[in-house]
Amino acid sequence: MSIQFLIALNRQGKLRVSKWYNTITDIQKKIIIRKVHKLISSRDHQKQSNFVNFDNKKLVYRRYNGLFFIICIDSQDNELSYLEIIHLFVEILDSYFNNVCELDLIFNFFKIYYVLDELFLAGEFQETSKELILERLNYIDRLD
Amino acid sequence: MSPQMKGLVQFITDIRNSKEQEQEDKRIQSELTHIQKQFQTNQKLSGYHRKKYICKLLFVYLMGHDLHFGFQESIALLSSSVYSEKFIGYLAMGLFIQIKPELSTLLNQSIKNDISSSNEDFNSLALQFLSTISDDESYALAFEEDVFLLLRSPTTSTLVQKKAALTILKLLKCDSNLITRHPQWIPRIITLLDSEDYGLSLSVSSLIEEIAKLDYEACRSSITISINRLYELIVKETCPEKYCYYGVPAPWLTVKLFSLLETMIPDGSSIDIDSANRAKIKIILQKAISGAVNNTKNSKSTEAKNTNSFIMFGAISLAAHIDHSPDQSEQAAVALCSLLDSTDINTRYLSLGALIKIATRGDFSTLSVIKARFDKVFNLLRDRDVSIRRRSLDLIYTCCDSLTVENICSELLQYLNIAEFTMKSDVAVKVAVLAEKFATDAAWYVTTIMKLLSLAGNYVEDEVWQRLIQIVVNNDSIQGIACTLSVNYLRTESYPESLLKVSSFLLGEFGNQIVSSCSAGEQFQILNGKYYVCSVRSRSMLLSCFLKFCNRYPDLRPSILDLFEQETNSISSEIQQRALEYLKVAIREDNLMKIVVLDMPPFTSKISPLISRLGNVEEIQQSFKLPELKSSGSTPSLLSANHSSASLPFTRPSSPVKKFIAPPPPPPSRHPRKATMSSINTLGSLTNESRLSMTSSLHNPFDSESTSILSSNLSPNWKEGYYRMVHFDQGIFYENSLIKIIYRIRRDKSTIHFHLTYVNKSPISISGLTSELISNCTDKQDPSYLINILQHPESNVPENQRTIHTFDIMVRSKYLDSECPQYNLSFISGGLTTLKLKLPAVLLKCLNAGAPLQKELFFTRWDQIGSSLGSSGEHQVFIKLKKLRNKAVIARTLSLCGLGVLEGVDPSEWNIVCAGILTTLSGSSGCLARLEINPQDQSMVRITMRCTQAGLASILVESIGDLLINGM
Repeated sequence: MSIQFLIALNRQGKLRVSKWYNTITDIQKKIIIRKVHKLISSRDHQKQSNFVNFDNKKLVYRRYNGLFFIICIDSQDNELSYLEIIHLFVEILDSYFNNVCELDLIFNFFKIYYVLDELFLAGEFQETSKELILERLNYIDRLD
Repeated sequence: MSPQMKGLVQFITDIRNSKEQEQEDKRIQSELTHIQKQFQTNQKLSGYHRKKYICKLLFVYLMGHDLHFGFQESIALLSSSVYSEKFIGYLAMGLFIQIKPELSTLLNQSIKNDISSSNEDFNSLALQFLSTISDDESYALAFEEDVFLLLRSPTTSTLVQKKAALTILKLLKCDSNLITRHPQWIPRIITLLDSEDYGLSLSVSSLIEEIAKLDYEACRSSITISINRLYELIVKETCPEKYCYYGVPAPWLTVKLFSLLETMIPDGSSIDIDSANRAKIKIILQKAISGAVNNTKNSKSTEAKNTNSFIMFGAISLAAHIDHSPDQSEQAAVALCSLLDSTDINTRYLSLGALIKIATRGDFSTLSVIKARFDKVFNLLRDRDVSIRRRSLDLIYTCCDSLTVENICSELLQYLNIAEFTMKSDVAVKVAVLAEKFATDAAWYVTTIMKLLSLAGNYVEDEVWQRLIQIVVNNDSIQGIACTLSVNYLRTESYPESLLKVSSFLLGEFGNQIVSSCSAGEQFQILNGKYYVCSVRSRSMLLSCFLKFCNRYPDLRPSILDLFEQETNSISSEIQQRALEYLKVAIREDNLMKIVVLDMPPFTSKISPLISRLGNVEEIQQSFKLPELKSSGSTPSLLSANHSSASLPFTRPSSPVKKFIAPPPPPPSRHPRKATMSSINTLGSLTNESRLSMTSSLHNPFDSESTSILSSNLSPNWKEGYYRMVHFDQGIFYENSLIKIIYRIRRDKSTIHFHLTYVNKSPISISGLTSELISNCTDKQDPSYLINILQHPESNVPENQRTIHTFDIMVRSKYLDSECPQYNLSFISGGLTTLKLKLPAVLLKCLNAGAPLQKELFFTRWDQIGSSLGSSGEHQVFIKLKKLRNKAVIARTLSLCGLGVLEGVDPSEWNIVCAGILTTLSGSSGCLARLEINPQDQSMVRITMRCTQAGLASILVESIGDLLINGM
């Protein structure tokens, strides 16, 4: 099992976070983002599940206000465990940015990678302790 | 938080404040000009400024703009000693390397420095970078030792070890030989699984799972470690507080270990696990499943509920994999069914998915549990989420058997009325397959499928009605019913066109069986009434039908001839051509029509073409099927040739009823004409010598039907390359608009070297290219051949570039052509392309000509084989070539196969005699062959072979026959 990519899109389809775990070209990234946005934004979030098939893979997504956090995984993977890892990711962002909002993701776009690189590596889970990750992030911030 | 870069914040604010696109573009352009100027002129740019500018470039790039500069400055940042500057350098290069792949060589030194640095933060950055960009084996070769050093060193912190473990995983994915190069690493890696740092344990378990896919034996010791860790987490519930998530102990580690165990314990057998471990797993799974159900009900937060659920789903998946005891899967089925009523959409969706998995095992008591709750599943067909509707359809399909098929089909037919457009075709295919698979009553089958066509005829694939026709043709008892139903449906006001197509075929073929209830004239009127309101394709079929009518009912002749006459002026060339030909045939006085309009022969395809349309379910069934799948509750299939019950056997007993067939009827391919006795008798003189029983080889084993059965899973156009590769030792294996695969084969005794070159023909670069060779040896314990990959293709191939893939097939003993490996290739070029081809590593490739034999020696050996091996040393077939080939061409093909053609051995000028030596690791065999071309009909060829190894001749004869028929 592994993550193919993790992205966050706002309702208009603007990309706010993106991390690709396979080497693909910029054009392919753009195509994927457009397809994913079309797929996710057309779903009824009251009546439909948080999972949707996508090109032999699965998308697992969760909406926080105007932002969709989306992970693409293999079709055999345990969907729900990825749904909760999205939540863990958002909780960590929330603590790190002290009440995170879309603007934080824009102005600190490079710091999102600090967080991602502690949580995942090579598309796999690396560390899932919120406490340890936040400790590490605070340490990194003090480094300069 | 570290202080922000003011310039960057200002820049982003400006862009966000832009009211129009033009203003935004202008702002970006002016900034880019400024940065470029700074980079060009300011020699003493500080690290901070460089970082800030690269950050701005990154922001612009991530907005979707192209970049043309800043690469050198990004690389410069890598050598900074300030963490944030180095971080931005790596981040930028991770993204920019896409644009400038040639820069990668410049980075290697920086990565090396940082990996071997004593600063752990720099180690981390380099590892994170490597795990992001690595995409071919050059990275593995360059860095594997350094990365492993970090992983194994006792002085490294667990933080860096985690990153090192996952970086090795990434390198391994790019180059699976990494483990072959360093088998001694595996035990050291496995010990880390037991780490007290759960994050390290988690990272390492992913790595071990990947290694186990390549070398399962070497990872065995991880089973006990995983089980012990799971026992602590689930049964003892001990876990450091910081690893609990909403009160659940280390949930992600738990499911990761479940998944590792699933990989480690081979399909469906817990035999390999010792009894202590087996007992422990049982307790763990029981606790995980029952505990999770309770916790899910009691916990208040969604997070805790979800977390308990995903542990349960992981446990059920593992249980379904290793434990065959009915009570375990029954327990799981009961738990899952209780979740079908859940108000949570995700739970319903996932429970259905898990139920499909356990139902696929076909365990009787589990299926009974599910079937007892079928009303719930049918309700979910009306769920508001389409993916839930699809899954419940899949579950219904999976659980169906001969007892429930009638009920299920009638429910599904009802459902068709309300199903949305996108699902109709899916439902229709499933009804068609189920009806065929489980029907015990032929009349019921016909009624169901006709009803299906009338309800969903516009949504079904052609295969559905073509299959119906095949079955009706092969079963006398239902032809009348099928015709009556056709007439009834066509009399209603609306009917789908596929129903008209079926009817035109059925009435044309069997309409005479119902003339007592519906006269030929009426039948003609009904069909003719539809003639002007249907598509060209249906009209073509109607014309064929009318030709059959014309032949059978003289009364109708004038009206039909009128129609043909009139259609000779049709604007459709297809119709015009048919009308012209049919008219000519019908008005000739020499009875040509009686010769042209012939019996419809029975179909032999036993595999329904519909199976390939099943999609998802079929995949799940493939991946979850157990070796000893119980078939309790299912009855013999409708299609099995030796069907004992009174249903419709596929092979029709020869029937005296006269039937007619006109030229192009719609259904799938037909047999090539078979060899007849008379044509055989005119063959050369070898007949007396060989004294074989002719009857046994009268059938044609190579007709297109039999090949398609072997290859139902292959890409549609696999054949061309397959036969080219059987025929020639180099050429093009496959080609489409995106990729070209060129091959070269080198024979080396029992080893066949394959050298494949992939050429990217598409306008963009290909990524994610992976190839896979799957052995199809029937004897897995003692395989007839081994596949040895020498070089994997690179996963990324820029446009117009190529990559090489080499491997050897080592032939140990004889095997059938159908056992040749399957070759899968997938890559991304725009979208994902997957090719499934058959690799013709046929035994013929181990043949070589050897020294030419003298005439006497040939016959001595021929007789020796005959007397020592008898019929097992010899095989003979008659084939009919699709195209006429002269003797020289056939002889050349034989010599390309590796046989030495011997001149002057056979007295007849029509015969070819050849000899060769076949080498496998288990020994060499002499092979003698003789081809006899029938001088009267040169497309008829008889092939006889004698080989010194029993059973070998039949394989080689069939290969050669297959090649001569299909490959030339």
